[in-house]
Amino acid sequence: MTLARSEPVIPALLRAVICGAVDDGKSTLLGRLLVETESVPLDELDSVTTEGVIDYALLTDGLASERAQGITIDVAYRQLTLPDGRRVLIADSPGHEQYTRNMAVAASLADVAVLVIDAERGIRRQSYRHAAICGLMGVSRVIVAVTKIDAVPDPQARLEALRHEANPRLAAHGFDVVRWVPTSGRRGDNVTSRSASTAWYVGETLVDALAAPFAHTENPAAAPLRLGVQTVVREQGRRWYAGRIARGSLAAGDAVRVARTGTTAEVVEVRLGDEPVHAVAGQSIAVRLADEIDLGRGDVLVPATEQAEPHRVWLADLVWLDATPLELGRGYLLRSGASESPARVDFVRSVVELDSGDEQGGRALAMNDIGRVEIVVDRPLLLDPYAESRHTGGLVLVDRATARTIAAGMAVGPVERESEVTRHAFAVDRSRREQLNGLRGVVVWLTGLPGSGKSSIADEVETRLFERGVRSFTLDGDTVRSTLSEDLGFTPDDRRENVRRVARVAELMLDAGLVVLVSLVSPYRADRELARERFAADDFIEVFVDTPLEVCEQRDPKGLYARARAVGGGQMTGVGQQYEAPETPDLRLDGTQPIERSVALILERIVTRRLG
Amino acid sequence: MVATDSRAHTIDRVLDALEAEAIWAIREAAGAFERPVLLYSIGKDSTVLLHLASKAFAPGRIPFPVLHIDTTFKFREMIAFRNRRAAELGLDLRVATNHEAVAAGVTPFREGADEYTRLMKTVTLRQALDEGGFDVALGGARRDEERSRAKERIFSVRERGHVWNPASQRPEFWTTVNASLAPGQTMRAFPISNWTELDVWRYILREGLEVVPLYFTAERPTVERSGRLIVVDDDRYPVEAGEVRPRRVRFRTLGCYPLTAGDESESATVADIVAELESNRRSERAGRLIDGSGSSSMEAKKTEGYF
Ligand SMILES: Nc1nc2c(ncn2[C@@H]2O[C@H](COP(=O)(O)OP(=O)(O)O)[C@@H](O)[C@H]2O)c(=O)[nH]1
Repeated sequence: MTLARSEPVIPALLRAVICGAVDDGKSTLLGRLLVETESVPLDELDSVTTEGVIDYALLTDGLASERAQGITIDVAYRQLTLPDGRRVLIADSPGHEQYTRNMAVAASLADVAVLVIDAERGIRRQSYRHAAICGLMGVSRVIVAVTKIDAVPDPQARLEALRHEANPRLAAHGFDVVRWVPTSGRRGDNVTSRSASTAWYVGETLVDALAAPFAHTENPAAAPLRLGVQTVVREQGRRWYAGRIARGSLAAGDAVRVARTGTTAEVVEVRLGDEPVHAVAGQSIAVRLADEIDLGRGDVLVPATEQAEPHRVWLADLVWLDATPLELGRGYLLRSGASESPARVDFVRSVVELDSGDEQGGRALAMNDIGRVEIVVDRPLLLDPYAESRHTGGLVLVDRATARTIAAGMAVGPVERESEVTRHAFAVDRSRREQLNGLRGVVVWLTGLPGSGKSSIADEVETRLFERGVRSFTLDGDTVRSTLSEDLGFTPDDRRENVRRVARVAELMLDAGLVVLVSLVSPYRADRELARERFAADDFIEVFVDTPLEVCEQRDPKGLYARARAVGGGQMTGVGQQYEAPETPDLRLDGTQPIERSVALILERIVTRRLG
Repeated sequence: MVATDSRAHTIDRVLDALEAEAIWAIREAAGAFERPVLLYSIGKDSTVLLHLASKAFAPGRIPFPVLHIDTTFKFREMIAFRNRRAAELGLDLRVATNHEAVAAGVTPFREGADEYTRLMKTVTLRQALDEGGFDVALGGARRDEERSRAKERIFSVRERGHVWNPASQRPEFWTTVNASLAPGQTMRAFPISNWTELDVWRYILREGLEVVPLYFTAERPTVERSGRLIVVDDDRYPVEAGEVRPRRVRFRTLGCYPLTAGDESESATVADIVAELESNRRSERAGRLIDGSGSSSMEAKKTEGYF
């Protein structure tokens, strides 16, 4: 591809979403559109034809499991080829169940929306909601297909009336273009050709409206470069950074900056497969830089001349997708392109009422709610305002325990907080402190039932380290409980908070250059994951002290089990509360064996981190 | 300039866009997961997928193994093609076969197509994925292939036992993949989801890719079964004396030879095939006998863990 940098790009592949309230005639109209554009294989057409009559609605029929439950679960994707060879990828969004979620998905990439409205029944509440979601997800063009026009007595007047009624409300969503087309799925009026039955109508057909060329609000090739690195390819000692250009363009000789580190470098080569290219937004390319720099998956390359700053706090609009509501302060995983970071929502500024567009004061978001929130990420991220760029302004939140996508977000912009001032870069930093120990610090997180032997092992490891002149510290459950977490109890929430605090302190101690031993029951997998996420992969070792409950109960060094049994379990882990054993710990120690072997296994992991 | 683009040029740009999307998906599979594997079925879609993977990691090599589920009833030409291409491309090729079922004498004739497919393909695939510890498997399925595929994601999560649960599929937004997996879950990735059969052939033509010669017409030994033409690839196929007749046939889709019907078509080159598909709008499904039993049979198979 040899595009000049300023040339506007009209995509050869268009993305559309089609939506409408149930029974408004969407399936019939879409079926008709697919058949008339010859987008349906003939044998499939045969399968929905009885006695020469095509049942258009059947063509877009759903899954058997959906039919069985009488609901439509999911967005379906269909292809349509325009006469000039362009492709339209149509996301068909079901009208009822979970419509917010489906609409949000279907509209998230759409350039154009087809909003199907029943001429007889008129515009329904759901039609407006669909339009509102299209607006929220950044769809810039809307085609209102007024269908079943065959069923109304004065179609021309009806179209005018509907247009008059709806246009002011549609205007509120800031669409660039709103076109109205009177159609009939049943009769085929104005789908791909103008109908004699609607001779009064001289406007474009539905397919013409879809095909109409349009200018992007932003020329993606002229915008500042955004290249998210997906993976690094190594070949003959050279490193190629592979990714898809989200915005802007890239060519040999350009100077780029790594957003995370601020380091700049010159581009030596840009290739698509084996061919050198002058790459533009949308292309999947690989780039080689002049210098070896710290750069990997999740990093974003920007123009060297742009001061694009990563931030820790972001204002964003969230669409909540999950049955479990938002929990303020809970640790989620934020993903945007290839970038990811532990994140939490700590403030809901407002919740949007879709019907009226009104905003209410903040409250937690539940399924299908849309709200404006502040998200805090652990690793500073570079996002663009979604209104400027969908790919680099869109994000999702993932629940760590279930791995479900629980929210989709659209970045509004960074939030400056007094307390979020960047940390002062001290002259004596972690690596200099580690020089004193002669080895790289690490967090050894011992988890296991009460009485499993964690503290004895930690104590012995420390003794051995001390003998070697290595500075260390143990954060022990009992000590922490009587100091740092003296205000906390033993409910699951309190346990999570306890783990969070201990992880935070361990982080500081790691910065102090120490070897940190954590001896904490930490019974919940998700909580331990949260702790782990705070550290670089090789700075954290999860050690499972695996001792059967019976053995722990027999040992019962502090009489805890006996007391718990006496009160019927209570909040004692292993008795009244569950212990979730790690599935894949970094190290599993058999707690029934003498501790020497366990101690040796841990020491081995620590001393191999010797410096220089 | 853009307004006067010729149709051919526009079609070429559609292929460019589809290619860019596919390479993006392949790189996500490699970058965001621990142990990817590419499922290679030797057919046209796999050929395209493999080529896209080469492009995705050029100038390096494809950084993951390629897995073929060999039912032992594939056309011999397919196996020869597979072995040659694997050597030429330097692939880390793994072949999985359900040897227990083979030893037990399982065939499509005795068990019937459905049970045979379950034992030789579905079960074998599940085992091979588990044994390899693969957390993402790339496949060449397309949304236009079958109605239940129209709702498939590009990244589609499978529950424990590789079960596909339509209700638990994750919403896909923009180019952000949720690559997190809960215990027991694995991922399937379909980089050419948005391609049509015609796109696949146009791309094969444009990129000059080599495909198994079975796609091109030639005189082949055939028998007729329920109005369909089966090419008798070896002597395991039960035939009556004098029943086998030479006919000029080619295949639109390749699989186990007893379960794949040939087409009486004259297309002898990739360009012929593109021209044929541009004028003939029948779907390729017709040649696949395993999908024949009811419109929701593919969906049922997927629910069990079929690709
Ligand atoms: N008169 C008339 N009826 C239609 C037309 N399109 C659909 N219908 C009827 O409206 C009902 C709902 O149609 P369908 O396409 O299934 O709606 P969907 O739920 O929006 O997909 C069915 O009874 C159709 O026969 C049309 O253009 N004219």
